[in-house]
Amino acid sequence: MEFTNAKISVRQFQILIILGLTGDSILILPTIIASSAKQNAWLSMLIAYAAGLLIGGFFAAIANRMQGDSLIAAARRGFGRWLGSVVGLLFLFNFFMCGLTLVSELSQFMTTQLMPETPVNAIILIFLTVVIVAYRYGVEAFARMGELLFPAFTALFMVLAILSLSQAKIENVKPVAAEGLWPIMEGAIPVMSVAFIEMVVLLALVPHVATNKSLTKPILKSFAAGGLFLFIIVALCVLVLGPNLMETKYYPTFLLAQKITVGNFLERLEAILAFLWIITVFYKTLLLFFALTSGLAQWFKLRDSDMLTVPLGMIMLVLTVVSTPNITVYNQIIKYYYNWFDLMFCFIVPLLLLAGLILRKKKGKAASS
Amino acid sequence: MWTRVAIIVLCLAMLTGCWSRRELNEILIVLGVGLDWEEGEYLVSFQVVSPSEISAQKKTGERPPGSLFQGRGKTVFEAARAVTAEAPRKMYFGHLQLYVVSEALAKKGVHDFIDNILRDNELRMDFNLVVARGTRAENVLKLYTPIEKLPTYSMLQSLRNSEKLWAPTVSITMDEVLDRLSGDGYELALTGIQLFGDPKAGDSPGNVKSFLPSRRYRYKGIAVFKGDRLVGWLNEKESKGYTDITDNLRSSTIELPCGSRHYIGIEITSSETKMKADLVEDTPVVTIGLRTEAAVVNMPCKHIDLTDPAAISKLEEESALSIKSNAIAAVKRAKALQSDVFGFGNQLGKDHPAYWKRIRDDWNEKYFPEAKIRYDIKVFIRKTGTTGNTTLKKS
Repeated sequence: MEFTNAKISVRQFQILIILGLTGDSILILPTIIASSAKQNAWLSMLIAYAAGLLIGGFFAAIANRMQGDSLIAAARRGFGRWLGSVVGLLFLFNFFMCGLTLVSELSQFMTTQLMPETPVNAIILIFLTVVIVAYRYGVEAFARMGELLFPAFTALFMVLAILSLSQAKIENVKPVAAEGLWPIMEGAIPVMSVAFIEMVVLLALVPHVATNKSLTKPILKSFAAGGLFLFIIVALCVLVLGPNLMETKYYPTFLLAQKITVGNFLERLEAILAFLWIITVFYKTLLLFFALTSGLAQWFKLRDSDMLTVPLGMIMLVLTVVSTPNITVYNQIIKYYYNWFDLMFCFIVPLLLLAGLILRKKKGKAASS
Repeated sequence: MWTRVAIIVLCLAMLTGCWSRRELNEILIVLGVGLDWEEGEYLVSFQVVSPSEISAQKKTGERPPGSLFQGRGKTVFEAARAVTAEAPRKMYFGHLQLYVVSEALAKKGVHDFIDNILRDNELRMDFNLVVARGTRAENVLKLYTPIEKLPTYSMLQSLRNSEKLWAPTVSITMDEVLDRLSGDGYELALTGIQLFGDPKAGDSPGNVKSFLPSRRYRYKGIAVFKGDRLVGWLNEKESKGYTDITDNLRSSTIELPCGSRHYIGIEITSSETKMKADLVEDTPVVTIGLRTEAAVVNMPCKHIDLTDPAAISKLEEESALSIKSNAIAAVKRAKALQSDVFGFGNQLGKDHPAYWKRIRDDWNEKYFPEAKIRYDIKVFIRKTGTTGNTTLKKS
């Protein structure tokens, strides 16, 4: 099949995971964590980080058993033709829904903070056009682009982190864990789901990675790096903004960028630093779109997937606007339902797949011996 | 081929400009906002820059450096939009520097319009808030000020400098206001700005044509809020105590009497405050640790020998007492107003979260006025200026 011909290097694979993992989390996570964990948000992040590495190991276990098959093919191998197709469809559904939340997030950020008078549709249209164009150039091209953008991403991140560090106040973290462990755990759950387990999308990239070695190490490494970026951001939000501001404002990271002033001349950097999360949100959306479109083509056994891109983009455009008509609805979905959705589709379904692959292998061994 | 051309042409037709774009010549840059409360409505005054008057090359000198636009409305937002009826351009708030709230409005409560500020995307959180004391906010914004052309800029610099160098003022920015109004155990305090001199002279260019302008502004006192309402003022001594306790003090002066009508001048060069809350037999005790470095800048008294280390330690002790008396005065006043502007409750919440959780609702009324405050103030006089004992003769 033409999809698996395209090859990306392990390094590119890792960069794509890091960018995707930072994704939208860098922008919206601080508020969500702070709403339950308050000044202990960094502790929630730490717990989620540890859990995230386990999740990384879990995804790696699946990735190593895919044997160069695409996600859909692997599902069919694990469960047989009919059941496998159903499992594949569940994956695709998840990629689609996840893509919707991301597009919704980006458009909301743009219209609340940067361009309030621009209609969301215009922003989504342009954003999705770029995603489609990137998809059509193929995974090789956008992986290489990711490799190019990664230094820019790290540089911007360093600027944000180092320049806002001077305003950090250590008293902001006190009192530590005064309300007990539960609020901290409650804060850790969304991090686990939004940042880490949504990265199940990396399975769609696995067949393209040009290596015969185990993928466990590269995946764990990139999870560790992406988690570290998020931890730094959350910790800075607590230290610089304090729990009150972090909880009230929708985009604390943006506020963090606004707070930067160095000697009355290096200030008002927020519009430049916004590039940081535009890169990451773009890459996460792109990965999801890639997984969805190529997966759908494999599901239907189509020879060409390019013709799916524009219709899918149109559906996403409309559904984004319809499913999240305002920010309150969106926040409610994220806060109350989305974690469970993620847990179901990004954890239980992959768990099924892993079980299927393991069982099939055992059966195969038993049959051959 | 033709479809490609058609697409390109269509794109060109669509991409002629962008939404939300605002050119410099289409916006009014607002530097100061003044809020008054009048007959159940906000009267909002916007001070905007007049770019041609502050540019170095083409100024005419005939017009003021900025203009004041006013609008009325039930919300600040309505008032801001109502201004378009008399202003040629739409206002842009990204460079706002100073927000002046009238005393009357502060007494009524600031919550309503603070919420609007919080929601707005154009406003950054780095501008300062002050309370117009005994005057209307609009008057503050239409004052001609010497040296700096724009009054808001002059006032902002003055506020920041006096906080740094003199002490009885605090420059509180919007994000701090939000933090104070959201959290428990740390009430809001804002500096007051007062106008004095000839009330008629302030808004005409004649005001700055004399060496001593007939109408001037001055920061005076710190407004104590309880919740979102202004409940009282700290005087200069209490204000100094306030900045000492809240670690806003960087540099200041202390005057110690020696003999009749002679004062020793001590300059505080740096100061650091640490606050600690303890529970002693279930009652909160707050310890304020102040470490101050100082220098003697004025010594009119012959009988004190500055070359004697014992004299220095005596001066250190007296300075510490002077600082302590300021702090005691400030705490006493705040206790009388039942408003914890020092953040003692906040500190208690950090050091003893379980106890704080139990009493936080009654803190201002019941526990704060009875809380014990301990002062641990140490002054280190390091220098005596460029001389030891002076040889100046005295009659």
